Amino acid sequence: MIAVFHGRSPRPWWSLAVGLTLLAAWLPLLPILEPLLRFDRLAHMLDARTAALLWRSTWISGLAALLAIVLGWPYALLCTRFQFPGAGLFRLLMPLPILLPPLMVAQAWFGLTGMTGPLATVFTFGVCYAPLPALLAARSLHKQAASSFESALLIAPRLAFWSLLRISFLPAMIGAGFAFLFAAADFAVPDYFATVGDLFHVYAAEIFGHSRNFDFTAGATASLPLVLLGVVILLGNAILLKRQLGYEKNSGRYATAISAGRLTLPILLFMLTIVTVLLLAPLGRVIFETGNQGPLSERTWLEVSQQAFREGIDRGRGDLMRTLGFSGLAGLLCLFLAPLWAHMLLHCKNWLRLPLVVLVSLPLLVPSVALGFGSILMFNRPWLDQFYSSSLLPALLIAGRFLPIAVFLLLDAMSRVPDSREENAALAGCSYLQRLFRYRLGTQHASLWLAAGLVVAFGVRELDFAILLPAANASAAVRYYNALHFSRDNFVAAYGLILILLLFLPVMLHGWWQSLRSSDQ
Amino acid sequence: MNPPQLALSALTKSFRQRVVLDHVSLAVEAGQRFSIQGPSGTGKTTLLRIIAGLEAADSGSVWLAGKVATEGAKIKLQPWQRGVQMVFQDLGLWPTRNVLQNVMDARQAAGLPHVKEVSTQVLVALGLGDFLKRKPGKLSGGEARRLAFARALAMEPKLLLLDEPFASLDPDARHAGFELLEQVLDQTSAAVILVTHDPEEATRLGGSQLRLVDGVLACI
Repeated sequence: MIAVFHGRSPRPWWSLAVGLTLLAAWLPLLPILEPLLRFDRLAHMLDARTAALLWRSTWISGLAALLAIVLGWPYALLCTRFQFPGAGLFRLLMPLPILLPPLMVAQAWFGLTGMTGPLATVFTFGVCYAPLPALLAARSLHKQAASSFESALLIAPRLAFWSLLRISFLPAMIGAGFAFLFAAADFAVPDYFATVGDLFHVYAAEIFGHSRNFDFTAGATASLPLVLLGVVILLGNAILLKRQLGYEKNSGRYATAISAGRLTLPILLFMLTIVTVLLLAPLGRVIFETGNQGPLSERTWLEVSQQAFREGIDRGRGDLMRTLGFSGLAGLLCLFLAPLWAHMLLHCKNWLRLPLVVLVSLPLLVPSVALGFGSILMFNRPWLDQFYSSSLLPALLIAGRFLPIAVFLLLDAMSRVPDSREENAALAGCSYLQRLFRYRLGTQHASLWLAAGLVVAFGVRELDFAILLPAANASAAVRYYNALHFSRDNFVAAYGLILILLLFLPVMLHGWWQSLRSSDQ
Repeated sequence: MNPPQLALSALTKSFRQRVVLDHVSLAVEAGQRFSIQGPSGTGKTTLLRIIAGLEAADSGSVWLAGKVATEGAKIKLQPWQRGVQMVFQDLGLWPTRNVLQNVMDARQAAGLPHVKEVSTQVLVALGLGDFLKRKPGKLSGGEARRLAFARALAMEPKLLLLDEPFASLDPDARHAGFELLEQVLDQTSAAVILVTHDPEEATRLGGSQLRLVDGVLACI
């Protein structure tokens, strides 16, 4: 058996990856997909109320995706391909807003403006998910063949600018597609705005509502329409991506950034405005909230803030450590699983690639709440009692849910490495793991650690299934959610900031690592 | 007397400690042809990029038709103001636009007249009449090269820069490519600078043959 895994064939390792993914990601999905086989249930789900809720979720998410693209696309365009003071810093800040828990952003903007209702939900999701179109557009702009841009520049600046728009349009759309999905599947933000303002419902809240009467089966099956919507968007995105990849033929030289010239000040102001909306305003408000107090209080802002941070650390430390424990375990698991999956996708037959992509992505497309329901239905059995109540279950679920992020990040990194490196290693008789980790990923360690770091970060901010799953109940995100709903504002803000620091850490470390590497070269 | 189409005066460029252009001077009259040979990494492409305004020099100047285009590290005329076209080694086609749009977009953006007629005419002349609606990614290597030449030609440039346009081709394709170049050159009165590794290509181009070694440009 051991000899099989020491061998040169990738198959045993790929089978192991599939087996682990089955346990972590696919088993909890079975109760969600079950109504596909039962037409009576399927018909029952399509009543007028459901249709109205689905329609509301669709337009809220659609507008949020539109806002995400409006904010994210120009941001990426300007900080990737224009030279102006601080462009590097803006690039570094680009991914950070997506790490902010949407509930915290909702709370901050409610505190700043008092806005509530569906439009406040649209705004919050648009702001939170703007990095998705931004990051994908930035990636494509980075990969544009320098000569393609420069041949346009020799003719007219307008044409060069159009070439930037054209090469980054599809990726921005793909990012907006994912923004739509994540917005449609989130119940906590609309629930928050419905609590602090006028009551309104969205489809994800309807799914979550089944937890109140412990009808987990109904909860799991009710999420099917969102899952199907997710699959449709994923397939659409896959088609766009295939088209986009045909456009990216960088020969290794990157186009130099355009000097902003007379437009430096307007560009700088525009970028500052976007960063303020995406990051600084919500963060600033949360910082303010840590020391905010009533008019009769005699303590200073600093005293209240310090007290809030002390409480945050004292009361939340246990939950935070538990969360870091199971999220860290999930990250470790992905450190091993994601390279195997990425390598499998890189080498599999063309006809198999799309089905595999859909299978790997499915856990991310499913509303997190439904994943919670599915896990309860699959694993809450007497003979699995120990496993069900241990930290291993949330670790596995986090790994399964966020594995696609790690896989696609590594797939992108691996495809930049020439096949010949791995082939030479194969000719020299290296084992499969040596070929994969030493020769294919040898120069891509930053991406590998970023992938694992992102899984940890998304695991720490995961709220929806953590609320449902007893083993994940005592987590940082659930404590934050509960405190928010009991209006413990100073504690909530301080605890939220501690969480943010943890979430930003992997991305900032990756940025620092990359800048060190580029200065070395 | 008309000023030369291109004049380089004591052009110098270094990358870190390595000098790739060391006081390079050259005058190119309208319609004249030059080829520049030299080993890899000696700064041939850098020289073309400085002439096109895609890169600044460290010192020295570039003059185009009597106007100062680059003075030291300052780019005085932007790339689109120079009347220069360049065929890049990897061609630099616009992947999201089809064959006809690749040429039409260029003519339209430059404000040249009879956009569609001239674009179609040039493409047909270079044997791409059957592929007008095809995206560059769907063209063969030779067809893509024809498109790159067609686009440069349709811009009616005063100066055409060719950066190893036949590199990485097998001998037959290289031969076909050069026949295409001769066909292109028959249709333009532009001055031409060809960067190449191949002495045979330089001979076939005609005109003056130069060699760039250790940053110094010298006649062969």
